[in-house]
Amino acid sequence: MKRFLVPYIMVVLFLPLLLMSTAAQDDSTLVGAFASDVQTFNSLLWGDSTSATVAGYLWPQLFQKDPITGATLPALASWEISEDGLTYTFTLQEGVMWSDGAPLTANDVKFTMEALKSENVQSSQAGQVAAVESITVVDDTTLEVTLTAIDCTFLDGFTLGILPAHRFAEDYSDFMDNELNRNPDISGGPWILTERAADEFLVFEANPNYWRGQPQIQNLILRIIPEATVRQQALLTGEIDWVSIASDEAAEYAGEGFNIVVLQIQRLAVLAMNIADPSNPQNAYDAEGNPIDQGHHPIFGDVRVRQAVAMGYDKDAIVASGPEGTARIVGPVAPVVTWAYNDEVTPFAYDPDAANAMLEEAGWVDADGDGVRECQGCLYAEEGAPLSFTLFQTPTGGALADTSALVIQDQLRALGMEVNLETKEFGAVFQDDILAQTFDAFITPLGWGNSDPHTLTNVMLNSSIDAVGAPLNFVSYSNPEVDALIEQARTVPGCGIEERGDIYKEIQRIAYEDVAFDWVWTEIAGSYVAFNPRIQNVNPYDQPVWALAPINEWTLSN
Amino acid sequence: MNRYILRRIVQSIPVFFAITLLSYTLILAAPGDPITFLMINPNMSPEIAESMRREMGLTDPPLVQYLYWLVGNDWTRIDRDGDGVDDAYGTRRGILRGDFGESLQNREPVFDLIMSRIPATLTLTIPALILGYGLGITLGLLAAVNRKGWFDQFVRFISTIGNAIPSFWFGLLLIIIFSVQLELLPMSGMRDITKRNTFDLWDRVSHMIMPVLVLSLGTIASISRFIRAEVLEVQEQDFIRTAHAKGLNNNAIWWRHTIRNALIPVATFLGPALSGLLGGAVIIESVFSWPGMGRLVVNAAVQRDYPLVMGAVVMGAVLYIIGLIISDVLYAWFDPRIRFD
Repeated sequence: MKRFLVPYIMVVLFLPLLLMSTAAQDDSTLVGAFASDVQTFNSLLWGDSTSATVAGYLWPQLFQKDPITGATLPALASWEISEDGLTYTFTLQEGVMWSDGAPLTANDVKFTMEALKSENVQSSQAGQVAAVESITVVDDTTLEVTLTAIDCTFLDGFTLGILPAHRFAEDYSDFMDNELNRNPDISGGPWILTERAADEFLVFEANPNYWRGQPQIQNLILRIIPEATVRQQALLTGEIDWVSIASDEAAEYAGEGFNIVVLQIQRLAVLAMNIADPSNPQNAYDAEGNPIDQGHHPIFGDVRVRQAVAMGYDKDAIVASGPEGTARIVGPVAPVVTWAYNDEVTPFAYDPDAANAMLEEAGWVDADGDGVRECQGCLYAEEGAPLSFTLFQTPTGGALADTSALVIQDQLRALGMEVNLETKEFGAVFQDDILAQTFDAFITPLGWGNSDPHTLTNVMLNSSIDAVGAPLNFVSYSNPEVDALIEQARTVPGCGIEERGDIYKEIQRIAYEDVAFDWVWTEIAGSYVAFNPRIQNVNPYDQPVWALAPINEWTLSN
Repeated sequence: MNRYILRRIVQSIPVFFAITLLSYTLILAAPGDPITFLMINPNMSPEIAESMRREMGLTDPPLVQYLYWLVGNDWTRIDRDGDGVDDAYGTRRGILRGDFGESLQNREPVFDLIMSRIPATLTLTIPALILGYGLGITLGLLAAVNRKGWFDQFVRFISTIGNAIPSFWFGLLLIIIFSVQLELLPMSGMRDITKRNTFDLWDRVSHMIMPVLVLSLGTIASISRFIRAEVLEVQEQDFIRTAHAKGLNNNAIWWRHTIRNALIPVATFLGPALSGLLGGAVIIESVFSWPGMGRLVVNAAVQRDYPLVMGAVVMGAVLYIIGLIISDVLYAWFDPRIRFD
């Protein structure tokens, strides 16, 4: 028996290996990979990044964004604004067709916009048409949209993928369950879905009717490969054509002959200090619009403490440790949006002496000499309460955010503040602490996006949208002057950027002095992608919204 | 025996409800809900979120949600628009009437989603079970025969390693060796996409080799070690000594007495293994991009898709209970010392 043992094992384990070989790649097909499958193909219903990306392949958008400044640019449609600023006249490109040969008309745009107002549609994007009063189809290529009031952010916020009206019920009764949500056989974008195996792959073919022109590559396959490591290995074996990599892997992949493209991601980090009473979170206003007393955070309710924090750690040192392009900021406007960024505000310098003095003035002193200050005449905490708070961070914030949290903890401790740094999974901290508004402090990176300055300014500083359960102005910053300026900038007649820019600069100045947030840094981080060298004509900046969306322009070399 | 099986089924009913109630409580207790991540979208107002939660039935108290999941809500009026007035009958029939509900994320029937993934998972788990038990029993027996020999040492080494190696690490290691370096095997998926419209047996088998091997490694390790110990224990029993004393030849003692008796406890493993057929391949399915139940359920849990998670829990609980009953029956069947009563 023993003499057969080794051959037996070898046969069981390795015979199949000798009979196999991996399949070669098809020269006319581009193969990519996503980490997860599409949840829905409906451009109004998606809530995940894969669905959003694929929706971009199928459903055309009216406008595109400048990838750096976020300015809205014409694409499928151009626009004119009436003198009173209330009526937008959209003019669609002539002769645009869906892949099934039906014309893509103003009626499709109207249908898509009105879907968000239908009772039969549950969409997280309904806010995009909240300001719309009426939509009138003038002719096949002309649409008039009338707003209830001037809204300079209307175009910026309008990013819907247009859906084919002729494939849905007019009353939207089938909108949520339409077969197009699962297996669309029609497209107005560069690709047409031809086959799908759930959690396995999506197969597309080039749309000859795409309004920008048929893609150069005939077929596109998107595989679902959950593990990042496996996706990278799949690139090495030629099973897929591109993959995201870490920046420190770029040289290695370049050495293997892959082309490296760096996509710019602009991020900012803020130290959010809860200004309202975390033990009794309240909305800023009641249903009738009357202000509600939100109380004061025992520590951060006093602006002097927030200023002491802002001056109490060395942001310049943090910035110096970041990648090239990392810089200080003074508010929720990206420095690249030069018309609205206030470069005249001088950021708080690292000044521990001034911070100490400010804390003393605010009634926080270390009377017992234990290294932690106590309230002695402070505004909102009980007498004798220690200056101790919890600072949340998430494990996915990135290296610079981690560094920032540690520097904050270390240097504020030297000022007599006890900072309990707690790392918590994003979903947990978001649900339990941020939405509930029960946190003390939270350091988090945010994406600038490529939107109008209104978006982040409004989200972070407007008290009228501060509600428990909503991630908007979750520190409960409230300054009527800022609220009024935000509204003013949104409704400037004519929407001229000079006038709007001046208002945003003033908002930044006020919010900086109030330390609505402690603005830590902005960075232009690189998101690295390795490409099989057979792919040509990759231009990551010539794209509407999603970094790799214009793959219709790529070509495959022989 | 029928009465025994019936009694075991009746005893399992409270177990089933306990499992589902506990699971429902746990999933509701997890931070966030299906709407939480949509809230990052600045276009998402609290009013819209509330409306979506109401539509999904997430605004009901947890016990009511569980009750509706269990027995449906088509027998009671519910408040659809949040005005405090019950205005329409619900549409769900409940799990006890065969309605697994609809996935919150992609609005497809949960039962259909689960059924669509089961074949892929069974394609992995059944061969892995067969390989695990087949190779595990074979190696265990051979190790016992060659006690303290080099092969015994080899099997013991393999079983230790097999239990110690994390399966995701072993999977990645195999991918690097056999797919990247040697280019012998495809690294992921269950078929070559370019051959998706034809059935190519070798293509399917080649995609199965690595995941099945990784999935069976733990079973091979455990079973081989267990069988070896059982055989050695049986060989020391009086009835084996008696057989030798009676002058029975070695083959007869080996096949008729030793192996038969050593294999009886293996029956106890088969029950839990049955439930593992659906849920045991979670990590392997992710590493090898296998479109099975495991990935479906993990994604559902991450997205807080309660009906889908609970659908999978029900399937797993039922299989586990069936497996335990089968295990008990087999044990009593094989071992005459155990009676059904």
